[in-house]
Amino acid sequence: MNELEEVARQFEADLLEFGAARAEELRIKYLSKKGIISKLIEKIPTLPPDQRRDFGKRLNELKSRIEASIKQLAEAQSDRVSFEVKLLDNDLTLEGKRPPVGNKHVLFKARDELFEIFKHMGFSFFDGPELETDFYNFEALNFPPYHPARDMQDTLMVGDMVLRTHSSAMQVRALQALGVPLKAILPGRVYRREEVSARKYPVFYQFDALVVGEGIGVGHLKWTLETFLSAFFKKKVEVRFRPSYFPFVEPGNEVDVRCVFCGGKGCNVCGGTGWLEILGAGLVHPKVLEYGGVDPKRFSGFAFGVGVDRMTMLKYGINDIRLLYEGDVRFLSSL
Amino acid sequence: MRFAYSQLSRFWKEAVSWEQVKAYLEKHLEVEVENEIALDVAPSVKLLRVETEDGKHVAKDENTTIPIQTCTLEEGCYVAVDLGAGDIPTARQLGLEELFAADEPIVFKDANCVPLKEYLGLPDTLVKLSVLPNRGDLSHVFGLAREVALGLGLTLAEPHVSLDVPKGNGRVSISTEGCLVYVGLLLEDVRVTESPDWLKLELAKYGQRSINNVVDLTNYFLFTYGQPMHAFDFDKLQGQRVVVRQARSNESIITLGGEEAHLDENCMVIADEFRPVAVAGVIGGKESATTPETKRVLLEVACFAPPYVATSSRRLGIRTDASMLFERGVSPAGQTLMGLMFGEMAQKMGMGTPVALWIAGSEQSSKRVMFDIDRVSKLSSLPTQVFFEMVQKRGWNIEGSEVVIPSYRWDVNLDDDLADELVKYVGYDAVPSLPLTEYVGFSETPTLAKERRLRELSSQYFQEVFLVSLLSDRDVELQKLTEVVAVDNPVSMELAFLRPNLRSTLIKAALLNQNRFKENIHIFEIGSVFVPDGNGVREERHIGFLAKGLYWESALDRETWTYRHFKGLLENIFTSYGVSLEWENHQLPWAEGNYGGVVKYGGFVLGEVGIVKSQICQAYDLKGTVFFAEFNLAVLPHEVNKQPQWPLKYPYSWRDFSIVMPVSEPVSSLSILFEGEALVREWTVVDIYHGEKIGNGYKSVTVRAYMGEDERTVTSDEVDIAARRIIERIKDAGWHLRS
Repeated sequence: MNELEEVARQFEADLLEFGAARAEELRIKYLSKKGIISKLIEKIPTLPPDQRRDFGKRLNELKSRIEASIKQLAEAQSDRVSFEVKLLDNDLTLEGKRPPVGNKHVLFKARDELFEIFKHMGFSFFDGPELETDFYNFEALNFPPYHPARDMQDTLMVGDMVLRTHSSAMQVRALQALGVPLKAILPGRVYRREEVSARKYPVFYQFDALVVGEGIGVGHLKWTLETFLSAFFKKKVEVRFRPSYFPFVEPGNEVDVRCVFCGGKGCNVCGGTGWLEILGAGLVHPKVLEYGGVDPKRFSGFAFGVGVDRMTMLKYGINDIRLLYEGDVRFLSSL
Repeated sequence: MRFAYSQLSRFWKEAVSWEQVKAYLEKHLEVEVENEIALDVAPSVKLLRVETEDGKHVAKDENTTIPIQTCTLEEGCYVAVDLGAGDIPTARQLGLEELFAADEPIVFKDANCVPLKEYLGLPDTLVKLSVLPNRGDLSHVFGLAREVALGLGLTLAEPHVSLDVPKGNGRVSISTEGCLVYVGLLLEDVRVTESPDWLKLELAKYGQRSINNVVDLTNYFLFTYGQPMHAFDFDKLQGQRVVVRQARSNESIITLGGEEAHLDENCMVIADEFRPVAVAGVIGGKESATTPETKRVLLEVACFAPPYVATSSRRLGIRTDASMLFERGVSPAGQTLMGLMFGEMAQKMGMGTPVALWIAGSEQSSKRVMFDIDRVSKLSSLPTQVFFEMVQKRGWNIEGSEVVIPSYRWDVNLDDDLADELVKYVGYDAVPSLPLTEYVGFSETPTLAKERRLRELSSQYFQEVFLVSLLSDRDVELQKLTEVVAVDNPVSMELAFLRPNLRSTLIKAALLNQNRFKENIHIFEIGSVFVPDGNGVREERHIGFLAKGLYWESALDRETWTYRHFKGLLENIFTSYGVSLEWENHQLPWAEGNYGGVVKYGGFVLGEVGIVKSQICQAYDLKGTVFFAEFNLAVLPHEVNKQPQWPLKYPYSWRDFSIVMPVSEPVSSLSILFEGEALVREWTVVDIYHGEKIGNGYKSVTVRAYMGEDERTVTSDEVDIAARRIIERIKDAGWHLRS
């Protein structure tokens, strides 16, 4: 009995000492014809008959255990060899095997940040066609055919349709579709009759914010602008209004924010003025409300238009609008 | 508009700095200061008289003269001399090239020997302003001065006149709604000459060149008082009378520009007894214009209504300073005063003698605007008393529910306009910020919702781009696009057509990247495409994907995109979106050979997938294989209810079947093998083999069918029975098992 236990202990020790590299030597020592196990088997007939059966059984168990251990050791050895053949793969300094990765356009990253803010403020989202009727793009926005403000627009025409020149073209559509009270963002592509340059582009992306309800006034416009601009630039921004004129708002104004880069001291981004021109805004003209089926005596509202490209360029310090719209992947994937 | 600050400030009794005025303008009025140029010269620059007959010397003092080297001047005129440097500088050298011919000395005919600084009233500032088109009343110096005086509490020097001439009517008349007032001033003994120095200087400050005394004086009134005027040669007016009327359709006129303009009833004209002699408010006629021989002038001082002038101007494609001002709104009062002022100045200048003044229509100095004080207060977010304070400060009157305001305020007609006026009056800083408190339920247009979902999913694998949706004539030709919508008035042929699909512009983006040494790209765009549809145009919102170059980009693993790589990513996107799509092999006009297919959702065609034809790529010199897919968002559902997949409680068994079938048959046709097999939970292709053992034209497809039950472990007997049925079906389908 003790002999078997002795062999088992001896094997454990040898297993550690010989290791995987010498698995074959270990096999010879224990399992070959002249190995330790064979010698023990030869010993069985010499034992007293009442011990043979039990000894044989335990010897078999020991043999199986040793065989299994040596087999495992041999397999580990061959795995290790093939592993080391593929040695290259364990060099972490080598570049990884990367599946194709995508990225949202920086314009839409900025847009979606803005949308998130407006969503929290309770705004809905509404869109309309790019190829628009003259009615929604001009007439319903209080641009009569002879109106001098039409000179400010340079419009691409397709038959009796126009490629919408501003996201405001969706204002009357939204009023007609959603009714009042209304708080909505109207996003989309707009077109101008322009050649491509660093500052001008024939196609760009903007949205209108439109709020109509009872008792809405300039103060609500001011609060909304301050709130969303502060949230977007992640600091409390100072807003400045300059009187301006668009036929579809009255009062109308241009809105500047105190330059978020230099704090108003004057820098490259704000052109030294300390102010960033951000957007045009105003109270919805009663004619527009009427076209939208809303009683201007009871309801009033405000609207403002945000150039998403302008906001993106400000936020990411991009100075050439072409980078946004030409599709250069090296540039776009970096942001 | 451009002017010198002194031209503005002379209308105020008090002295105010330009900085103060500018701050007020920008904050309270629809005016933008575009540019300002400071004007000043050294006191040592003095005007000296050309004393010698040869015109080559000026007298410095009684004893000395300074020679003029650059030119010859008339004796008796005055030239600016720099006594410090002892030479005669050019206007540019003095920094006055905005006012005088840049490379010539500054010369006056009737001046004194005074410092130039004093003569020109320097220092001064040249100001360039842009006024928004609703404020005709601010588009001239007097109007600006009037408004600033109201705002800053200054005393305005109102224009006045001492001259009086006999007034009458009959020589001028109005027969159109488009003319409110028409005043005609008759001048006799007219002498058309060069303008005096002061008038030239006035116009130079306005940025205008001098033409002759008559024209210059009318321009002076245009830019100073915002009153366009026109001088007819009275003796060339047949019947010696004029009428304001709409033109007749067969009439025409030779304009001052020398071109013949064909008129119609949309054009408002001034006509003599027989023919149009001017396009009202836009441009005069050549035949009735003043010439150096003119002896009698009929001066027109009128107010034409904005839409009428705008319509004529657009109809003829002619824009002038006068037409632009009329479009913005000229005061419907003051025509008589302006006519008389012109007469008085003409008389002083020796230009002619005013003898008669004819008036048609009537001047209206005020107008009434209905108002609702509560609405004005709500719109402006300001208390009502501020409105009454403004009314009082402005000198307006309230009569019942109406406020009486000056007629030159064409822009004020509604409560909203009064609210605008009120907000400008107090300044936006004084308006309180009021939070939006009303709850409005959330909604999102389905297209926007779909775009949002697709953008999130697609941008995991593809770089999003945003491209110009316009194509060039060359693109249309190279891509053989037959169904395209043309823009009627393209800015150039580069941007002349609307894209009929996203492929047309994504290919261009691939080329741009290739030209910038970026060969490996995988991009997508969401945008509108435009397809001719009967007589109209159908706009569809699409998503397009393009991949090209390497799928595994790392140098060690370089592996180009394959059909299945591309489809795999699309499957990921749409599976995450929550829809399962049907993919069918299908030849496509734009796709290479058999590398094309249509994708369906719910039986409707969602889009197309394929490899772009090499002819198209070659036409653009686009290298490599270009994988492309485009889908119509309208076909996708906007809300998808995903079904949860509960954790698997009992293991599935599986069986492999190697089926020999013709190469041309799509593997999707194997689905018939498993139809109705409740035990088969999913099946997948694990191997495809082509080779001699199978025979030409055949492939061996090994499919693995997973079988199981939700509530128990399946037995091998059940699996065997199902497998036998499947093998029967293989035979029924005309295929056989690979032995």
